[in-house]
Amino acid sequence: MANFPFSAIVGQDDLKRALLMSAVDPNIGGVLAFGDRGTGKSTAIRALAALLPKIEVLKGCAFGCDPAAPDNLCDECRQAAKAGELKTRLESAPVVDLPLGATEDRVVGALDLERALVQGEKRFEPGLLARAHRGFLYIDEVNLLDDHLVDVLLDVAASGENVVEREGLSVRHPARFVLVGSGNPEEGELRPQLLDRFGLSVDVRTPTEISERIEVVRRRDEFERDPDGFAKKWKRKDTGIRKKIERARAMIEDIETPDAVLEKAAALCIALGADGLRGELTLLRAARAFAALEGRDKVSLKEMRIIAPSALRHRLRKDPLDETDSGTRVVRAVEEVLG
Amino acid sequence: MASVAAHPSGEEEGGAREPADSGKEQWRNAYVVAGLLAVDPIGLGGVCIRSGPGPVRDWWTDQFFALLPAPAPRRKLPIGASEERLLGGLDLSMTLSTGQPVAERGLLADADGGAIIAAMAERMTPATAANIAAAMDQGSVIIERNGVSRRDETRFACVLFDEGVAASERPPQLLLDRIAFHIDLDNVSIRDVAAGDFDAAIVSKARESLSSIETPAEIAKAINAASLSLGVVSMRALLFCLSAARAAAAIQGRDAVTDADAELACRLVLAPRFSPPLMMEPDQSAPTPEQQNDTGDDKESKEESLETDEIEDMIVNAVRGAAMTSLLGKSSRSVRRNASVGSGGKSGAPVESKLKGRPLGSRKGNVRDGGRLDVIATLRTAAPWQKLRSQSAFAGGDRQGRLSVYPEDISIKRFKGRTESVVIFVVDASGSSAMHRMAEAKGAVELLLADCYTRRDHVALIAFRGQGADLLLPPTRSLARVRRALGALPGGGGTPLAAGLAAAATLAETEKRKGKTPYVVILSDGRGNIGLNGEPGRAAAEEDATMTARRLRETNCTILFFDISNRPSSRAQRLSNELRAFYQPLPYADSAAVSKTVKAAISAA
Repeated sequence: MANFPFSAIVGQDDLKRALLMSAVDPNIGGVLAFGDRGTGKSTAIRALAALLPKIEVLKGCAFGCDPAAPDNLCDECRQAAKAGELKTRLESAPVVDLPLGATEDRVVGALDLERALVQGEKRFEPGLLARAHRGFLYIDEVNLLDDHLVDVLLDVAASGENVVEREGLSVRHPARFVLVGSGNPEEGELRPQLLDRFGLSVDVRTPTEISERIEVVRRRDEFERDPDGFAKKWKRKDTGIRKKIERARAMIEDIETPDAVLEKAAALCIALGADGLRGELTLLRAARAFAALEGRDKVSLKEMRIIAPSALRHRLRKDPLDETDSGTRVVRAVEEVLG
Repeated sequence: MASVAAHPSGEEEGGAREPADSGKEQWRNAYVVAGLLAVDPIGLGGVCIRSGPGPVRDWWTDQFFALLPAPAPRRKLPIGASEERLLGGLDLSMTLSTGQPVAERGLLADADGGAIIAAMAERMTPATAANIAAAMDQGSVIIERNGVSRRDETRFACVLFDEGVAASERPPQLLLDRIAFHIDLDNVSIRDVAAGDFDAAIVSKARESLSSIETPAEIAKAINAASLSLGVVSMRALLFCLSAARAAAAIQGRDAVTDADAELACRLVLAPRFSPPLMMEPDQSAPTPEQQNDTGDDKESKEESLETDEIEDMIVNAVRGAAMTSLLGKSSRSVRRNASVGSGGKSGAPVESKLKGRPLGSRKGNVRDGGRLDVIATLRTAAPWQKLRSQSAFAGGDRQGRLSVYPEDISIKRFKGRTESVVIFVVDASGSSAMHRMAEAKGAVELLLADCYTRRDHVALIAFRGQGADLLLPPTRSLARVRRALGALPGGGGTPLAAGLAAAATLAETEKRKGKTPYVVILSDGRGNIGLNGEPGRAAAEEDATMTARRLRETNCTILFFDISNRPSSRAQRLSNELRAFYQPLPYADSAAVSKTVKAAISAA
């Protein structure tokens, strides 16, 4: 079945913007979409696959190695690079679903069962982490993910490399992906270590504007009656967004960040007590990606103001007695610091 | 002409109703639900039926399947079904006998075109619920398990049997949110069961005409406005209302939705989702009907907006009436059920889990017992014997080069399961200092939770005041929920200490049955003046308190008693002794101190 087109999603501007910024700059560190049920969180994330520009991969590589990153290749590609026989081809950038019921062996990769059983041969079969390399790894209901899978994810996300060193196998391959999680806070809080891995955190709310709700229903209905026709109708708009991502990727390196903006970013993080350097870094990266998407060559306070809540919301120290929603706290601080 | 106009439960009928009459009406509603669901099983998701096991429930299920297009697979989901069973994975016996990996379809994939039935759905784990929900959302099961990687298309409706006793025992919310209907069959006697107004032929015709049924714009708008003004903002609920209205119109043989269809659909979908005003907190985000009318109607002609308003009012009244009726029905039922609650089940002591938690390596075992196959360990165990086995008597020529795995090779993975603890706060909210104590208890709950959420501790809060005890916060580890539930603190009135202790005992028993370890934290001065029956009278109240204290003690959980009277009182100490509780005088209730003591007690246990 066709996916619901990204451009046809009504509202949810914060979530859509965060996903696009991550597509422009994967180093922002992924997106967490937490909030009300039934707001189309997963729909937006799955729709992203159709928007991602194609990537160049080394031919025959099981791990999707990047020809532009010769220092970060899997063992086989490294051998091939030494021999000088590297061929490339274009592939769709992956958006991989990590189902909650996945077992660890399929996530990190393990012995190829078929070969082991049929030929008695020991051969590595790449897992979901390898499949998500250079794309997106999506976990719905991320707060219900088994603890030991969370540990695996944290480890790989931190190093950008998946090392499988057990069952007599020794495989190491690059695994850099944008982690996207969604969930409902009523199912439980996220582990702080995992929360910290997400660059952006979006608070998703059910629309209460009647015209918006009617439009959501109308498009949903149209899509369900004729998924392919609906997808075709929105294809031009989706292509437009993809071009926008491509343009933004091309220019992001050259985007200037004035000192005044840097200072304000630091002041904002200090005012909020946002832990660590990561907040400041994400704030700047996200502002840059957003400026690039908007086609500007310079980061200004305007971008900062818009993206600050999603970059900082989840980094505030929890004060259990303060009932203020953390997004509101960020907005308040933005008003004070950025004016 | 078939009729789906299930008995309208207007407000005027909500008060004095004969139990038999209400049973008949519940059955009629349930039959309509079966019909609507059979017309559009995928669009409506399913139904949650609050009812104990019995012939009525079975009858309903049979009727529902008779209305579905044949052959509709009917898959029972056993409680505690493993992920392997649910999702599918490696078919071990086939794999071993053929020497090639053979994938096995799970329950969810097998239910394609029919429905899954989950009995005791209130005990379903969030993980199981999330797996089912993911399959419903995507119309397929994605398997990434034990060397198997595949996708099975599947479309099914979900029938949940909710056999919960306490109000907090409900199926996982993430699944409830994805099914349109929530009905109650508990008051339906077998004598109430009657054939409905439509049969499989009508339903089947309706199913075919479904896609051509139009929903007039003013009706869609009225449904939208009605659900907003009832405070049901969920988009899924709205979509369910619209789908149900279309299904109702289809059964009636109409080509467009009428206001009667809309009313019926909204009553069935929205009433169970609507919290009657006494439990509702002021919510700024949900616009009032007045505001709503301002935003939507600018460009409409006067006439049309009037009509929309009328339909909206009609829907709102119908939903309110239905919600009140079901509330009255519920209270009588829960009294009856509570009386039969026995002692708790097994304790939730730390256990080695077969399926969850941190891997502890593997051990020999049987996959049939619910373990997870450790393929590598199994192969490794089998490997050294291959040469020997290939030469053994029954290895035929065609087994050459294949791996022989014998039952004794099978290894299953071991995991260290962690038991979750539930801290149940029981707080005296009576009298003049109630607000202060409640504030401190609330502070302690939040402090504990903020501190413990990495450890996955749940927190619950019971407050007693006036005539009885309320579960203000069912067990949760969500800060968001805590804030919402504790937003408005009730207080004042008499001191129904016994009711508070009884509620704590019931909750502790429930949680123990779920395999969790409850801790009870009491903040009280030990002086009750309202008995279990809600009547004032100090002597009777204290006798009741002593009696329920014994019942609470029988649950064998750790109890902390914070004496919040101005001077440590002998009465509180006596009660604490009766409970075999850890006693701590705390004249100035202080959230930090409470939280610290509780944490120390949990880590000591």
